[in-house]
Amino acid sequence: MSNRFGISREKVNKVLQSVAIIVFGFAIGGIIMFAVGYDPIAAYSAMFFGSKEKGMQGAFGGIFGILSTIREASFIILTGLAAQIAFSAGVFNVGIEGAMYLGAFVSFMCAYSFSAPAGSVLGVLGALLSILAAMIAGLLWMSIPAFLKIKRGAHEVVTTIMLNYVATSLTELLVVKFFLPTTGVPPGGIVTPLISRSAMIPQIDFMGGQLNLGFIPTIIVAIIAFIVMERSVVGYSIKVVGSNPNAAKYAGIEVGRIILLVMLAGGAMGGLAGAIAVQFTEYRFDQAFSPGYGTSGIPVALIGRLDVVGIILAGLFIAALHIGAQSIQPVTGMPSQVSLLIEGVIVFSASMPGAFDLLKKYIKPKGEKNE
Amino acid sequence: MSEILVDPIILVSLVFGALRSMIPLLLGSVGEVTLEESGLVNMGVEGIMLLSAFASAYGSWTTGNPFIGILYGVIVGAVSGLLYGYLSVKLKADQVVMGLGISTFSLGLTEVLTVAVWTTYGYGKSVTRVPPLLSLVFGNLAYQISLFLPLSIIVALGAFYLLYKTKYGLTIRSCGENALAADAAGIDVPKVRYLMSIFAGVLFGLAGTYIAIDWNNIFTRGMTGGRGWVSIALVIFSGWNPLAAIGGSLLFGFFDTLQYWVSASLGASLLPAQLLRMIPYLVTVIALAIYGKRAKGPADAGKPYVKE
Repeated sequence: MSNRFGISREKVNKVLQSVAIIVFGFAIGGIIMFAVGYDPIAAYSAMFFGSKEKGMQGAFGGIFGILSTIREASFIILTGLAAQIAFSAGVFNVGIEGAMYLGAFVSFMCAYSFSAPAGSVLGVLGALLSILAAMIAGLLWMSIPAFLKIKRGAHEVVTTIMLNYVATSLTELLVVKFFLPTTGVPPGGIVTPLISRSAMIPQIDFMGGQLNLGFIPTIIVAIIAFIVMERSVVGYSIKVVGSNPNAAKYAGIEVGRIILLVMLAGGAMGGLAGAIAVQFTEYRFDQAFSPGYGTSGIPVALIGRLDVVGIILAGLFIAALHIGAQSIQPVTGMPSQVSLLIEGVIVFSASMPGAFDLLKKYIKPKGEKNE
Repeated sequence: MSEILVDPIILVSLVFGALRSMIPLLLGSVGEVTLEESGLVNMGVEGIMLLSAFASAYGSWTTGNPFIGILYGVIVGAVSGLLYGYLSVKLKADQVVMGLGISTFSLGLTEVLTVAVWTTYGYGKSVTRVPPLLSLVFGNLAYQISLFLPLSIIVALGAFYLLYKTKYGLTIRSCGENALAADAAGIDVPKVRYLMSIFAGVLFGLAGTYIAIDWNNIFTRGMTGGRGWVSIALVIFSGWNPLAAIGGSLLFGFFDTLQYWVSASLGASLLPAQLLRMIPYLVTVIALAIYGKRAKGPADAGKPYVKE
């Protein structure tokens, strides 16, 4: 059922559902804020438009806010795509965070160890190889839970969450052991020295702010993901496995290989996100670089309705939520973790397609057929 | 090195540490086992534990009475369980996604409430702790046995008895094994699942309460530290058997406590803290690698039940 713009009824419904979920998330967030004595209108306005008196820009209240939101979105869209490709095959890969930490550390090690004149062919090659190494590291890391799921039947949600804890401790151990052996943990946090200049992808001056180029690899991955998921046999097989693994088996699809593929792809994307953190953003490995980018991929994939374009929009939205939340604390005194609360409600509501059927029953005029 | 290992004081403290660390894992895994036997899978254990941890600390702080704290924690657990049951049974929510949602939500909510109640970020103020059941003195150190230790073991024994030795247990397990057949036999599947969801919620609530106002005496951000997830892993590790969960929790509790013990007695120079911190998580992964295949849970667990 398509109208003359080629937009199907189903698609409109999907978008409406996502919008409803987001509105619901904000409504619950607002009610809780109000209940504990904050002004939700002031908080949300600080979140999105900042506050002049406090010098905060929120997510969109100025060029710094907007550029921060774009930087944040490059990470979250990437982890959202990683979550999406797994969810499409019915796999709950929650291990992107761990793959990202491994990727970030490997990207740092490579970019730290080589040196070439900045801008030379060798320098560019080294920078690219460091990114590639990070992706391979993420992929190898993710092969652990993938193998455990396929060969041993271990539930991927539990193994990947456990491995996330292992990955953050492991990278912290490596940094402390090899880069801070005498000083211990300095007041600035667990950080390494800077990577070599030639491996740094510069930030561009843009209208008085700094534009982080991390969005470029993210867009490339999004395009590849779109082609694979919507225009290839592999993408079709992934969706068949996700909707009905038994039918997939009968159709001759090797379910195990598809599961392996989606998890390894997610690992590589996580590794890439790590490389963006090191080579595009911080130029060193900072143990505290991620405010939970990997976990944020889950709401992004869910409200993006497992659709690449939807995920880009959802990623921008969740990024705005994060960057905006940083303005909430100075303006209202409410902790920035309030964004987790809203994200949680969003994930929670996205788990209930049944709720929409229930709503539809009341809203739809009688006699109309339910889709 | 060898003298350190045989030092009785250290061994004793290791044993008591393991007995402390096992409690939330045992309560969590027994709750999850009974729930999964009825056909629901609660992936929000971590989140419910954290909400109850906050509620109990709040209750103990406002009244000065830790037993009111326990009551608050249990109520929050029960209500979360009821809500979880309702949404899974009635609205056929995806139980994995919902669990992840609860866990994220509770991290955000407890932080907002911490600031609202105690006006500090990341941690609250110290509250009255639950009094210990008894204190044992070894050498010149006193070790306290928590009320929650016998409680959690009794709960595990009771759950085993209920599930495998009574006709109610048969009813519960039939809902998890084949909901349609159970329905045909005249069992009210949704009612059983609601009840088990509330029961499991109460146990998760007790686990969170124990962590906040017995093991500690303060609420801190994300203080459950993945123990909810470890509890879910323990369900598989113990093969859906509450008795095996006692052994499993003790083993995991031992690894959990080992990290503090090694860093305290051997010093960080020999074995760094980060390495030790990984141990319980690594053990969980290894346990799943070994037991994952062999484990076979209730056939209908996690599938929404659609009445024909």
